[in-house]
Amino acid sequence: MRTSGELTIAPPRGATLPGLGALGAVGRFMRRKPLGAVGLSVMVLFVAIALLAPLIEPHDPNAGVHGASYVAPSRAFPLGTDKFGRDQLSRVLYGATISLQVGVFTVALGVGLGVVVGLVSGYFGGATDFALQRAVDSFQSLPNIIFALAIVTALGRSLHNVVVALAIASWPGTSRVIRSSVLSLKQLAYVDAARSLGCSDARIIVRHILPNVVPIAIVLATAGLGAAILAEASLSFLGVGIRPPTPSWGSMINEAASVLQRYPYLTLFPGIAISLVVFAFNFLGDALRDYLDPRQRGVR
Amino acid sequence: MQRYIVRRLLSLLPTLFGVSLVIFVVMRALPGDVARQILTGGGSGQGVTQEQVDRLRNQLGLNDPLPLQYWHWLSGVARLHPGDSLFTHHPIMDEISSRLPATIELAAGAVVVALLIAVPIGVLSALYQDRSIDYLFRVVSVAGLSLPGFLLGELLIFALERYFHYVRPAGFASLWADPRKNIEQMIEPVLVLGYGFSAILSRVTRSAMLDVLREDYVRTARAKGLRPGPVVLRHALRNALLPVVTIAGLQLGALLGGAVITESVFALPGLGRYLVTSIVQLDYPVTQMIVMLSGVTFVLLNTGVDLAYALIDPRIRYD
Repeated sequence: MRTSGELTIAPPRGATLPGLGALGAVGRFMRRKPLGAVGLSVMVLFVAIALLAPLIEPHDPNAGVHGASYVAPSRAFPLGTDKFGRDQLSRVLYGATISLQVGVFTVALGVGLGVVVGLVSGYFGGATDFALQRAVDSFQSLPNIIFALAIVTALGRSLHNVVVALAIASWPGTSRVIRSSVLSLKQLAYVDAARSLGCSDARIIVRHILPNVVPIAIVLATAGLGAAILAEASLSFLGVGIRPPTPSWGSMINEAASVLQRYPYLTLFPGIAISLVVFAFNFLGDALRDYLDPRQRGVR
Repeated sequence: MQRYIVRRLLSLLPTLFGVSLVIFVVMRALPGDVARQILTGGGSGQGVTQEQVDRLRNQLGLNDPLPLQYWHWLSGVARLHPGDSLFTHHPIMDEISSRLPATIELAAGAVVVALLIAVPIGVLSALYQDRSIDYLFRVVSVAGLSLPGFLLGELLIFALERYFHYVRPAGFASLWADPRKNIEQMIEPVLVLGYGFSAILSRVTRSAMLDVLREDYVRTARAKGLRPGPVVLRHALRNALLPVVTIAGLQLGALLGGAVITESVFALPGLGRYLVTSIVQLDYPVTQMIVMLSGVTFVLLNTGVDLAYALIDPRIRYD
């Protein structure tokens, strides 16, 4: 606490222990939104597995064990092996790493771009807004998966290009939502106040409007992570995503399709992995949206 | 009203132009050499001489200035003469029109299935908000968003064969040639695609119903002693359906994205599967045309829904 003249400036309450404050918020969120809590737990587990995969994989995910093709789930290979004798557990675990990379980079790029375009379009309005929104219309006219297919075709297949493709396909949706909330934010008195104090446009956008759209961006990013992981799996299932032998859950299911009746476990385990993770992100996104929506404050 | 319609139709032009520009830029101007990819079967271009690459680029018109390439492509598309497939050398429009019926049937069936699932689920969820049945239905609808279509398809094929010894007939029969076989082939893909689609619609139905149920006229209807059934069906649902139908129309374009996957899983000879084939075969004029078609469909549906909205809802006035 410090004193200047007669004014006493106290540190804001709760700011002394920022870690505990955040934990408390998470706890409140989990109590109020049980489905969101389930989503959050699965997500934490997923991220942990993705980061630790190289350490906890029992085998090399890409190297087959000689003479061990199509081994049913057993003690040596808990999820069995595929045609090339590759351990499915290791491949499913490593697939989490790939999915997490795709999800995080796609969302960082896609939501980032969407927020920037949304801020600029909503704040400046006029001709800038018109031009940007027509671009958004054009991009949104193409179903994400088809658009991503086209981009991956042009760029070639790789993890990097899949991320670029999915990000380009996903930013318009984000920018629409951000723009509409900027349109109402910029009408508020504190923005006028900032302007009358002589703040530049850039400062008003960054310091006064951006912080207010961050919660929306977080919600969009959470749902976007699930969507990106699903889209990558779909591309890889179609055989135009990440190149084999890199284990992507989608391509594992694709490779298992021809032996579905004989070795269903090869489809089942990666399938469970994708579904659980996407499920978790969707639940978490829904719960966060309700939780952060001021109209629902106090509503259980 | 007429002026609104004309204005809405005129505004189609810039959007369609934008769509074509986006597709062209994405597929032609991004780094990545189509000619090199074609010569190396999708590889990065090792093992081919620069001379080979240049010859193919010339042949495909890829050495022309970009605006000229765009003009050639756009005028071809606008006249519905986008040229021949690089792979089969048949006209692209013939290839596309032979595959269109399967996709249209799939999409139409999926919309019907989706509405049949989504409307009752959405209505019940709204009526029993935050009770266990609402939670159950919400889980069912989030599952529809989360379960990949290809996984559902594979599991359906697996379960029917393993537990019911049922195998879908092979080879595609058109609805007119062999209705029975056609329906047997379509029912599984239609169910899978329809369930995924119903997830979005049931959420929209639920929230629209929640809004409408709080309206004064619903309270009035209840207050004057109407039984709950007619109140829900005649007063609430009729008004709640408007946004549902809108979203259904808008999302129809996105269904083509789902069709890509469903058609691939069930080996249906539709446009979606052809798109994937064209990509794998590096038949990029075909790819471009199908992507353009899906964009045009989306834009037209969007406009159609807007116009229908103005006609159906008397509260909306456009002047």
